[in-house]
This record gives sequence, structure tokens and C-alpha cells, in this order.
Amino acid sequence: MATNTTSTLLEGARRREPDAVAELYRLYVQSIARYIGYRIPDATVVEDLTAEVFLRMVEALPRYRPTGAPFEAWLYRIAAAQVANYYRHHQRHPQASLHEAIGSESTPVEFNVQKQQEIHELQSALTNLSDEQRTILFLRFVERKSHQETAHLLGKTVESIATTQHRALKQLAKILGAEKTESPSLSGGAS
Amino acid sequence: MTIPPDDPFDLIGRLDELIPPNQAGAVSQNNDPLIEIARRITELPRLTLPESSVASIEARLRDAALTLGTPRPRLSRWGRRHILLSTATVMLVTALLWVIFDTDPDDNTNLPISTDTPTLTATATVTASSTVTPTPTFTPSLTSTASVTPPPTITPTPAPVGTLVIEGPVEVVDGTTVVIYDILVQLDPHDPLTPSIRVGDLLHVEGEIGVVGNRIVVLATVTVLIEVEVYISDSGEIFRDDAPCDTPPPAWAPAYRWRARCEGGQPPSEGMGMGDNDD
Repeated sequence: MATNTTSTLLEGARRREPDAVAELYRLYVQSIARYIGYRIPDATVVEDLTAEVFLRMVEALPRYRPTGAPFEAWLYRIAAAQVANYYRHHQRHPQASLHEAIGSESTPVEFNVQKQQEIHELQSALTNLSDEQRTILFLRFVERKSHQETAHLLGKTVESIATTQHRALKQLAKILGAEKTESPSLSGGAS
Repeated sequence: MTIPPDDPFDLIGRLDELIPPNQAGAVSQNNDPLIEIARRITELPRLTLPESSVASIEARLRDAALTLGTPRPRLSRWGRRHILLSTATVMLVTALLWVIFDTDPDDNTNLPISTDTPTLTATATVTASSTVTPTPTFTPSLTSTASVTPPPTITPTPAPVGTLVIEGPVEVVDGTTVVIYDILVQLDPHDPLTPSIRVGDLLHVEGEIGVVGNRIVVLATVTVLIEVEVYISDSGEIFRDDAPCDTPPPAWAPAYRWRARCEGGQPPSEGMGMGDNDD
């Protein structure tokens, strides 16, 4: 997305011009929904929270001050707060999710049982990471942002991202390795 | 599974090579466990909100944009500094003028002004001119009393000294005049916002400076109520979003803060952090 286009849209959206608001929303809706869906295993909640993020955007845009970080970073922060609020209000912790009810580019039916089991294991393992670690892995490997873009979005240095990412992947490897040794039936899996 | 003691920077180099950023597509399996886990993350189902949901949310956003309307201009940080500086300067000038006028023994028009109520100043000036000069032919009657009662509107006759921006808490409200930092401000009586202003409100005022007697008066041209959202209907009806819970907002007012406070919704906010403590 060209910065000029985004800044033009932002100006319109700040003035709450419906077309500009709608266009800005369309630019980011799927990545924000993915970000929320990556943490909350309920399609209805994902949709509600995504709507809430963008409603907050409309309300708060006049007060938005560019800080040099991409606009998207601001939306991710709103989304992170929404997810945190959701779990705070529901008094429960993130759970592993297969996102059954939400459409996905990869159709779950295509996966065999073992593959689904692997996904489930990975998603369970991800819940053991900190929010920052999960966000970095999400941006880099789900959204396929570069390390520089990830750093920019989170307001961190590439060095910090590299270190956190390394630690997160090692932690996941340890968890998944431990799970496999503790429950060999999972790795044996049906094929 | 063995985890090699990888260097984080070496790892990002290899990851960029094997899982190139900004490129979709499958990634082949790798023997390095860390890269293999990253590859598995890339294979997680990519969620997509269905178009019907996207469209439904878009409709809500369009409604919200229309309902909320064009926002009032807000001040930049620089603007706030400027206001503080202006306010301090004006207060200094006020004090100076006060001293100058107050210590001139030949100035008969300089009336003693009570410091008890800041509103007294402009009112007192008008009152004095009507009541202090008794004429033998004048019959004391209600008419003189009526003429004495000053209208809430002040018309400073001196040429404006300049423009002033002032921001601060409203100390006194008297009709369409308010006092901020001991400065008398004449608000626009036709501004629908004017009747809703109360003592304690944080007000941003821009206007022309005039002097009435020995008192500086600001004739407001721009008035912005800070911190309290005020909704004004097409028919001029006003709803302040800090109303108590037993005063529900009218149907036309979005009143997000009232609803958040009284109905348990979420107030609009900004500056939400992405912390590590949500799990």
C-alpha cells in the first residue's frame, strides 16, 4: 500500500468521510481479523471484535497522531487491547483453535488427521508464548512481513525482533519436542 | 528433537532465505527444528472473514462515521503550549493593567471592584453608570432598577487589542459570559454550545481582546468544550455526555460515554498498549 494513498485515506477518515473510512477498513480488515482469530477460537467473537476495532478506529481517528510507525501498527494495538479485554471479561485464557467456523484459504478438509493434529499441537504450543512473541511470529510467518516491517510495526529494533523470535521458536521447539516424547501416539498419528 | 544453539541474526538470515517475506506460497521442509517450526506456522490456516461479514461491518462503520460526524478541531501539543503561554501573558497583562488603573487617583471612572466574584467586574461597570448619578428629576422607580439590570451580553467598546486563545476551567458562568483564569469571556449567544457550559468545564476559547473599564474581556469567536462530548441535534437540542445515569440520552445522541458508564459498554479510547499480559 502506497503511503500517499494511506495518508490521503487517513485524512478523509479523520473527517469521518464514510467512503474514506470504508476504504481504509477494507485495506486492513482481513489482517486484523486474522490477528484476532489467531488468538480467539470463536468465529463470532472474531467478527465482533474486528468490528469493534474498526469502530474504535472511527471514533478515535481524530485524535490519532502519526508517530512514524505505520497506521497498521495502531490498529494492531487496538486489536491487542480488544483481545486482552475479551479474555479479561471472560476470565479465561487463550485456547488452541482450528478456526473451524471461519473461512480459510486452506480448506481444513484437505488436511489429513495427522496434519490437523500437528496444527492443533502447534496452536496449543503458541498459547504458551507471550503476546509479543506470538505477535512477532504472526507478523513474520502468517502475514509474511519482513523482519524490518515487523520491527517497524511493533516499534522495536530488528535486533530485538531477532532475539525475541529466536527465543520464541526455541521455546516452541522445546514444547513440541517435549510433547512428542511425552505422548508418542501424537507423533505416530493416523495417516 | 535437538535444538541447536542458533545465533538469532544467523537465524533471521536463513529464515529470510527459506521463508521470503511478502511472498505467499508453500515452504519446503527443513532439518533445522527452528526453521521447521517457522515453516509450520506458515502453514496454519489463513483466516478470512467472509465477504458478508466484511460488508456488514462496513455498513456499521459508515453509519458510525455519519452519526459521529465531522470532529471538532483539536489542539496540537504546540497549540496547547501556545495557549498556556498566551494565558500566562494575558494574566500578566491583566495584572499590570489592574495595577495601573487601580492606582490612578485621578481616574474617577475606575470603580472599586470586589474580588469576591470575578463576574462582578463588567456588570459593576454598567451598574455604576446608571445608579451612581442621581438626578433630582429622576423618580426612583422600578424602571431605573430594570435599566440597571445588566444584560448578560457585554459589548466592549474599545478597539480590540488583539486576538487571544485561552484554555482553562470555567470558574463562573453568568448567562453567556464566563470567567476563565479571572478573564471575562463573552461567548457567542447564538452558539448552541453556549447554554450547555457549566462551572468546571474545560473550555478552549479563541477571540478578540477588548477592555471594559479596567477589565480585559475576550469576545469569543471559537468555543470548544474539551473533555466533554456535547451532542447537538438538528433542532438545537443539546445532550452532554457526562449526564448522570438517571438522565438517559435522547435517541438521536450517540452518547457513547454515557452508555459505557451506565450500560456497561466500552468507552472509546486511544493509546491502548500491546502488552504481554493478556494470556
